[in-house]
Amino acid sequence: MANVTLKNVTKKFGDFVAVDSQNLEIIDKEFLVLVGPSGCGKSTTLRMVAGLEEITEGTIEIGDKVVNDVPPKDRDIAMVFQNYALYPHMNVYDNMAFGLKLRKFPKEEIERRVNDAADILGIQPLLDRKPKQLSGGQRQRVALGRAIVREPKVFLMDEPLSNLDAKLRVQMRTELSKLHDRLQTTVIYVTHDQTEAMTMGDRIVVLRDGVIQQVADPLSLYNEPKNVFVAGFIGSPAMNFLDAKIVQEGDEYYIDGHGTFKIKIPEDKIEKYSVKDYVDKEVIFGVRPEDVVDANITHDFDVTDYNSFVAEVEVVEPMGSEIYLYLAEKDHQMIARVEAESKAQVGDNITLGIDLRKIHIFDAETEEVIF
Amino acid sequence: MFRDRVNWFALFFLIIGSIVILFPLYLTISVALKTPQELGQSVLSLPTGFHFENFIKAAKMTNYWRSFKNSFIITFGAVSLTLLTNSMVAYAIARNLDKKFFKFLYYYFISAMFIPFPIIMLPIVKQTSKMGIDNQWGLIFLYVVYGLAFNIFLYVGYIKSIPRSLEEAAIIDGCGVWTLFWKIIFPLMAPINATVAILSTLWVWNDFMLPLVILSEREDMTLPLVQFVFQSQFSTDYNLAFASYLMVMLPLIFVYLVAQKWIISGVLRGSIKQ
Repeated sequence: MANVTLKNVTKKFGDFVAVDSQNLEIIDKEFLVLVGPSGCGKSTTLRMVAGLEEITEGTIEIGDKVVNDVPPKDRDIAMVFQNYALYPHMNVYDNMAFGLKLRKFPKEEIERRVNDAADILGIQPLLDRKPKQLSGGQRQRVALGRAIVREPKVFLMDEPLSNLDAKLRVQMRTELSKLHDRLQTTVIYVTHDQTEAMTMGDRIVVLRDGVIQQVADPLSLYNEPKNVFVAGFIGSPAMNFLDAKIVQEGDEYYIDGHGTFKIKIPEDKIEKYSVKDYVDKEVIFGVRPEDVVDANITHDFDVTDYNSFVAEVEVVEPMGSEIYLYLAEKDHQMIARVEAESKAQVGDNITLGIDLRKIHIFDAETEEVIF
Repeated sequence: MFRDRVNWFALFFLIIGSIVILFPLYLTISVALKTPQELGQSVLSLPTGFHFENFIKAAKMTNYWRSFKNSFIITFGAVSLTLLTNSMVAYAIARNLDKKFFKFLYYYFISAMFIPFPIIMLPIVKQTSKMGIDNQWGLIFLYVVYGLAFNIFLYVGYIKSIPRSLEEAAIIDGCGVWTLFWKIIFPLMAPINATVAILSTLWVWNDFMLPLVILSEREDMTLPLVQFVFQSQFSTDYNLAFASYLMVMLPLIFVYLVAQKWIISGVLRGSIKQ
């Protein structure tokens, strides 16, 4: 069992709070991704689990053991660094065997483990080379190999793919996922790249200014963001946010974009999310680019006056399989991800429909989700 | 075509520079190989024959091999200990420069570079004789300590360029502080170690003042010292004196030839963050 548990973990650098009262339970064999912008405390959290940073307050448990005062070498963890951190004066074999030699493993066992890891990662022919003779991708594999041979309880990975070029990053992403399936070990993975987070993580932790914003599996995070930050951070292009107000007309409730658009709130959401409490209050209306559609193309929902608006197309970005439309409507800017067959041209005023099943409303004051 | 590309200004200074260096070298070698009579006839002329007996005589008069042994022991001892100890001190300082105490230590050691030797000469002589280390061992100790100022300056600059993540990786791999230093950091410092070793060797091998004031026994004397004695007694016999100078230079030229690649790259690596 290698659950990792963070209880009220806080890290301060002087007066600056880098990590604020984090509570997190990482389940055995889980691939957990910590994601957030630079300076959000994700690397600090990982380094505290590794034992490279002292914990100011709280406790960290690995297995059932509190490891606050356990030195990194006794925590049974292995870490992969952003810049690989391979020992330049040792060849690949020695780099991978170093940790085992220090732990006084028998020579045959070291050889077996290094060769096994080299086979898994396809670096068998590179074992005699020095790190400087390797490409970025090969170095990355060696760094992974060094972690694998230790057969640790927990793998810690600190943005391991960020130094690779885009193509290699995609390839390594898949390989890392396969590796995790094969090794069945707990992985804590830090990244600022939400695509990496979404594609690799069993669960994702979104961090901002040292505070956990939401912990959820990728799809829940995407479809049910807890606040404006998470909604904006996850997804590319990012979710559109428009200032609006909830208005009531008879028995019906609308999202009123201060005269620029008026969208009817579906009845099932009104009772479920106590929309009535927000009547005449400022809210933030959120809709993902793919849920804004070109009304000229047929979809699985009808475009009516209550779920559509007219906007001017400012920029058209054809992506091949789809088109990004950058739209403007009075003061509001937004992006729509429409089908490739859309005929929209720059300067056109086109009608856009909104998939009401997928809209979000956030409290303008707290930025927390209403639905 | 080619002529247009010649930088006459640089060439002129190159020629002047070469003459300034080569002329004394020519004088030293030619005088060492001449007889006193030849020297009397013309200082600048080439020797008519190679009088290697000058070297044999000079070696005998200066007790060359004993002094060579002394110089070698002192240089070897001082340089080895310098590398082992100064690198450790510098590592401790370089990795803790964010702490006030270590920052103070850093500037404290560096400031020692600006203290002229004559100021501390007398106290050193008194202290070493009182402590009974006015011998080769004391000399080695003094070189190790006096080298600290400049060596820390070199080492700290270099250590800063070694990524900390390497140390963190080693710590996670299971290294303690000592293993980390000897297995990871020290080998990575090879270029700067070479630089420090070369600079220390040149300094210790050629140094005249410190052995002069510290060493009390005649049989402990180093090569520069015996040359001094030799020169004062036979100041008119330039052939022997120059032959002796060449013999002292020779080991250093050998060291330079072996290590010249390191000298140039080492000095650069010490100063530039990679």
